[in-house]
Amino acid sequence: MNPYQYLPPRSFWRTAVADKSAPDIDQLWTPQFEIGNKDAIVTAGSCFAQHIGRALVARGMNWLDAEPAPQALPEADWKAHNYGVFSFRTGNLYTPAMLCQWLEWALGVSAPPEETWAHDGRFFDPFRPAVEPDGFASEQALFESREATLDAIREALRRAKVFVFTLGLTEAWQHRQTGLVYPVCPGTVRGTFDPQLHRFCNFGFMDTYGDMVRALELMRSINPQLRLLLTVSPVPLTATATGQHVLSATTYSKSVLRAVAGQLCEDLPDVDYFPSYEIITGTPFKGAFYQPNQREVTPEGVAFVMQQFFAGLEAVQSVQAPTPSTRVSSEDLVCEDAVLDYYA
Amino acid sequence: MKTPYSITTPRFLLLGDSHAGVIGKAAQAREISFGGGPLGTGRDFAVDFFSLTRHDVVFRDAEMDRLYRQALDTLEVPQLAQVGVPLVSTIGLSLHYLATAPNWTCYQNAHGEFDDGFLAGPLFEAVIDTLSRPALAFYEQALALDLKVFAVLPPQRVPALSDPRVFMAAQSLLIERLQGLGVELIDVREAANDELGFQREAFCEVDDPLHGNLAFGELIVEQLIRRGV
Repeated sequence: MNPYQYLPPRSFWRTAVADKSAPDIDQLWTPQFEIGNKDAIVTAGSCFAQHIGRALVARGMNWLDAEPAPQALPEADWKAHNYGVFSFRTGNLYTPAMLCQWLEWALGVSAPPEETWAHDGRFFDPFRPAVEPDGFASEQALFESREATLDAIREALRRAKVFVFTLGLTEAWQHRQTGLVYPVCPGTVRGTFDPQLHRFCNFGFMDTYGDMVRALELMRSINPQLRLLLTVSPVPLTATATGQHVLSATTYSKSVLRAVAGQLCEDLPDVDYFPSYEIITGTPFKGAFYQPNQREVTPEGVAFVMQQFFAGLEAVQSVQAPTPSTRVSSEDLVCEDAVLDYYA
Repeated sequence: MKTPYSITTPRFLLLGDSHAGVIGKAAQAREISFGGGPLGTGRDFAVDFFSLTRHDVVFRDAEMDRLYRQALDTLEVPQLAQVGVPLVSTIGLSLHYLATAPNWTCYQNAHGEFDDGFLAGPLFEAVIDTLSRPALAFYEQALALDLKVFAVLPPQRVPALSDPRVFMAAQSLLIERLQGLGVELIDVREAANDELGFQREAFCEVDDPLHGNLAFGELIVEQLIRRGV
């Protein structure tokens, strides 16, 4: 006897992968917890996370939009203004450090920064510079808008059953004095790059792991039952500031993120990992789910990922479906009584 | 007079199905300190009932996990890897559940007989192995965390809805599997059984079709003490 004798076909490369055509590869995810249709789900993170929210809505699941678009804004403009993209209007949160930052502001652990970027008389939020394409009319409007987002984060955390976070990058730019992390390098989308003020950092395993643990602690401080579902974005880096080839830098970055996700699942309860990264990048799929630029994911790729996501949920729901009471034998009831009696 | 063992330092962690109840009650009656008790019923352990972390297990059912954490609290440790006393378990040994008769009729002929060799054959092994896989995986994890593990055989009582032939054959197979893993067995069949191999009335819970009574629990605790717990 050995432990492999008990393993199902999905545990073996030949039966799970080699003997199948790519579209037939299945059972890629065994959820660690059930997500019901009525369970409020929050999505945030890197750009790939945007697809998850949309797919949940299309599936009739309870994706939480804690910061809906104002009625006056035409629906065609929602996406440009970052409404309905994530559960709140933070824009992309590429790194766990950024998630921590927003959570600390929302939960009053630290005060939101007062830095703004001005351009042609308009004001841009350095921590979500693309959230308003034309910027804000005043700093006051910028801060009020950010407060609305912080309210939405608090509301989402309180109501959520599951928080889906897509880990995107390890590379980021920080303010040298405050340590605050920018979503994009100052001077690219907006703002001005100043080497005296801004420094590059490439978060390693320990930093990334620590930030995610901290983020989860913060989230569970107001919602102890919150479950965390992690994914890693399969979208490669647009550019690297490490000096390495962007392909190597991408492999490093994604490897760290994937390892952190795995370690968190090992160490913490109610943390799960959904393998969207493997589904898109895995060798069995031969890169077929990438656009010609080998970076963006095709709609077919997104559809295949979400198909695996929902198949996983359905499988666990059928396994964990409560046994109808008519099927509980009298012996089972005796057992339940015995258990209750023990603790009486 | 020197106390032969401490009555305050927990001596074992008890986890299991409803059969664990009398073990705990017998230990309490002897003022032996321990942590734990039954976490659920036999069928609760025939499904994928736990997940692994590096140093612990997490029970998927919230109530089971709560009872488990409560047991760890009694031992004043935060996770399974830090349990310094033996694990005494009945998990996976709810044989009456494995032997639920309607599940086995499809392997029988019109007279209710199994084909020759069926109960010793590979199909039977595969069915029992599949049903027991989560429980055996649990034992593997406990052993991997360097715990000394005792698995307790259940009362030899087969309720009306269970098939005694399956009960006995599954028991033999699971004994083999558990011993193969390195789990030690607590087996009081010789003391508690009649000449037909079933539990004597003196060790059966009254008005209950499958559980042992306190006297049965005392036999188990006695054997645990003899084995150094």
